[in-house]
Amino acid sequence: MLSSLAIISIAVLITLYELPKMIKKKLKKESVTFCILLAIGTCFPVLMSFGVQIPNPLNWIILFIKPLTNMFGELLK
Amino acid sequence: MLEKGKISHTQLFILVMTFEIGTSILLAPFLMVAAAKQDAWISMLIGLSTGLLLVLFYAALIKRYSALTLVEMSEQVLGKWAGKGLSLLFFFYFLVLTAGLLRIIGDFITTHIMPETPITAIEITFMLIVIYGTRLGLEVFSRTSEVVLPWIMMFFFLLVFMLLPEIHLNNLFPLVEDGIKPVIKAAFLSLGVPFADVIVFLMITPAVSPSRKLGKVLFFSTLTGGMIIFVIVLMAILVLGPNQTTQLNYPIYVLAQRVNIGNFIQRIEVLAGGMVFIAIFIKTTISFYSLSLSFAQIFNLKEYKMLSFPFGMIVIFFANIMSPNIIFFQTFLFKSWTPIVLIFGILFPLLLLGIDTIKIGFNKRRNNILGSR
Repeated sequence: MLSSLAIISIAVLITLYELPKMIKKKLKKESVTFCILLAIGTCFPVLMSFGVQIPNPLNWIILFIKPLTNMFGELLK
Repeated sequence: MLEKGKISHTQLFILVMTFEIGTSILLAPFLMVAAAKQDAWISMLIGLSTGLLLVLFYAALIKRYSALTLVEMSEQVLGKWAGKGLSLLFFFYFLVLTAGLLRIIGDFITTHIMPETPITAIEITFMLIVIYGTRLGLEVFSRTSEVVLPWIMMFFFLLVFMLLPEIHLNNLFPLVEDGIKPVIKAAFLSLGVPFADVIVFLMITPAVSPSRKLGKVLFFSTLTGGMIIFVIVLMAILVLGPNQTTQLNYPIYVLAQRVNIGNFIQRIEVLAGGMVFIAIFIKTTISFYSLSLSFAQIFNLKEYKMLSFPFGMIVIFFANIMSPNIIFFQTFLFKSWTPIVLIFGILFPLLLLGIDTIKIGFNKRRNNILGSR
């Protein structure tokens, strides 16, 4: 609970620091991208702090690369 | 052009060299000695020569499009959508690379230097410096690398010379005990940890100011970096012996603990730790910079610096989630990392070079036909 509050407040601080500069320069697309990325970067840690199990993306990569791993493993046994 | 800074050949040389010794100084002794035992130094030499060939191949790619980064290059060669798709894959590769580096430095510090501190605290602190370096831009952190190079070299030579009395030459024998296969396997692993990662530099080379003779610079810096890793691997075998090196996660730190000259100069391991921090800082900054720059170029953004804070949060989160424990991470490094790096470091560049050659040949033939009419 406390850690999620800390993460959210850090995200708010980053937004307050970055967004006005971008709005002043009229960078519309950049500000939208910034907000989306920051939302992704905030949501997952907050979910994690509430104890939600987030799947490890490396497992997918390992599964995807498995034929190649096996091939090299056979080759270099 | 997103990056307005320019860097010189010397700076590129230092960046590539520190990039190569960055993590491999921690991981290469462990990974390669686990695969090839006392013959790891032979496989390091084989790996180094393969790495030099690879660098020459990257130089050929750079020569064709010296003003374009990897992302722009793939867009130029493959067309808009296929190029963006390939660049997105490279973006994820940079993400895994950066998060992995962050995890490795975190694991190193919590294992050896500050065992009571939570790993996330170390990762956040380290990431803040990396973000700071990225926001200041390529030119500034290249100059930083110039400043810190003497320290890296000094720590390295101090370590090697002080370890000379501890050497046991019979640790090297018997030579090639189990045949040539384990040696080749370790050489294969050495491609994954330092050498094929140099593909990241295709994001940086457009900023190097005289764009001629880049191949030469890349070649010699890979040679220097490779020789440093070779010496470290050799020292780990000579001083600790193959069995003890395999049991340790980070042999270089324990290697430095062995230094004892006349019961007076002892416990210089933090010097080795300092060398590791500096090298990994530069390596992480380069990959984080490439991460932000590649994203900005894929989505045609006008700036990349403002992406550093959101990406910093994502990378810290990713570093936490990607390795639930050290065994998982080491198995990943041992088994899956090298194939992944080979896909991104050899297959995709080869694809780009091949398609580009076919395109050039096709255009030339068409021009010839048009000209003969």
